[in-house]
Amino acid sequence: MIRIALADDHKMFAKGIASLLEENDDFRIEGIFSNGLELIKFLESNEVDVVLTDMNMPFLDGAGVIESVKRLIPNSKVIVLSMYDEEEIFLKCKKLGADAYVLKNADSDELIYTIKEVNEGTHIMSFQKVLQQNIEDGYSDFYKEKFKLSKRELQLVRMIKQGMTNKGIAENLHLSIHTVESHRKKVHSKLKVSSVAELVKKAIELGI
Amino acid sequence: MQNDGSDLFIIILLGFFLMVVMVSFIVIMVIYHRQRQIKNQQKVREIQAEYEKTILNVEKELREDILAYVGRELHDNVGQLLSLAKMYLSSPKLEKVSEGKGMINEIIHEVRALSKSLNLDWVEAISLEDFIQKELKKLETAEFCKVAFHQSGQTLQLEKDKKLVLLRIIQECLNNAVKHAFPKLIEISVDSDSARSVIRVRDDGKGFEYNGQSSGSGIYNLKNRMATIGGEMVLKSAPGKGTEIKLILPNQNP
Repeated sequence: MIRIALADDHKMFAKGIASLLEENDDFRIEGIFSNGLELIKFLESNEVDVVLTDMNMPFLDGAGVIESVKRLIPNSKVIVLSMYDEEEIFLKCKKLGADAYVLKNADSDELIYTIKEVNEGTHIMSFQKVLQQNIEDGYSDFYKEKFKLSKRELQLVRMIKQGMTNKGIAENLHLSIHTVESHRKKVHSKLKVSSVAELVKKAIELGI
Repeated sequence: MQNDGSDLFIIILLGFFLMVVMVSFIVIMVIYHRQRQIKNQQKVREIQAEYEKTILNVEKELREDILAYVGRELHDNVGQLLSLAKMYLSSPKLEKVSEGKGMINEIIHEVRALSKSLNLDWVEAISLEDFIQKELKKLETAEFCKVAFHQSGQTLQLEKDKKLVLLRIIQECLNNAVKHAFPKLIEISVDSDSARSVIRVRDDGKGFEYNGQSSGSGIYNLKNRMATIGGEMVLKSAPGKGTEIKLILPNQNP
C-alpha cells in the first residue's frame, strides 16, 4: 500500500486526481490540501510515502514543498504535478530534490506508473520523458479498450516486435530495466503469451 | 494773434497726442484681453485633453488587467480542468467517464464567461456595486483572504467615463492590497447620499508609513485620477494597522 498526500490549489483538480488514484487498490490518499503550508503541517505529524505537489500555490509553492519535505522527512518521495512543460522548471525541481515530474495533461496511467516507480526507487527523471507525456497516441484507446493495454505497454510491445532489447527499450522510454521487465511480465499475462516469439506473433495478428 | 495761432496748434497737438494714447491703450487692452482668452481656452483644452488621456489610460489598463486575468484563468483553471477531464474520459469506469463529460460542460461555461469578460461593453452595463462584489468574489475564490461588502443609501448613478475611472481606482486599490498588504480581510463599503458618495476600501494587512505625502507614483496617480473626475482620495495607513482608502465623489444632481 502506497500512502499519498496531495497539494493543489485548484480544489476540483486535487479532488479529481485523488478520486482517480483511489480507484487503484495500491494507493491510499491520506490527505488533500489546497496549499503547501497545510500539506507540510499535516506531514509534521503524519507519515506518507509519496507527496504529490502542484507548482503554483499560495503561501508555500511547489519548490518550497520539495525543499521542506526533503529537509523534514527525507524518506518521503516528492512528485511534481505541473502544467509547465518548460525545461527550466523541470531542472529547478530536479535540483531541489524532486523524485519525479509529471505533466498534468499526462495519461492517468503515466501518473500511476510514476508513483509506483518512485515508491520502488526505480524511476528515472528525464525531460525527454516529460515531453513525451504531451504526445497523444490516437491508436492507444482501441487497445486499451480491448486488451487493457496501457499506452506504455503498447509502446513496449511495438519495440519488442522491432527486436529491441530490454536495455534498448529502457533507454528509449527513459525507464529502468527493472521497470521494463515488470511491464513485460504484465504484457505477457494480459495477452496470454509465455515467450517473446509468441508475443511477436500475437502482436502481428492484432496489428499492434 | 500770433500767440493765438500757436496756442491753437498746441491744443490740436495735445488733442492728437491724447487720442493716440487712448487708441493705443484700447488696442493694448484688446490684445491683452485676446491673449488671456486664448490662454484660457488653451487651459480648458489641456484639462479636456488630460481628462481624455486619463479615460484612455484607464480603458487600456482595464483591458490589460482583463487580458492578464483571462490568461491566468486559461492556464490555472481551464487548462487544469481540461487535463482532469482528459484523465476521467480515459478511465475504464463508466461513472468516471460521465463525470468527465460533466467537467467538459463546466469548461464550456468557464470559456464562455471568459470570452464575455474580454469585451469592455460589460463596463457600461455593470453597476459599481456589482463590480465591487465581483472583484471581491475573485479574491475570495482564489482564497486570498476574507472579504466583506456593505452598502448604505441610494445606489450610485454615474456617467460611463466616471464609472470607468472609479472602477479602475478600486481595482488598483485591491491590487495594492493583494501585492503588498497580505491582509486577512478586505472590506469595501459604499455610502451614498444626495450630497456625495463615499467608497471606503479597508484592509487589515501590513500597512505602511504614510504622512499624507505620496511616497510613490502609485498613490499620486490614484489621487490625480480621482481629481480628474472631480473627486478626492484620502488615504490612511500605518505599519501593522492596515490601510484605509476613502474615495469621495460629490453627486452632481442633488
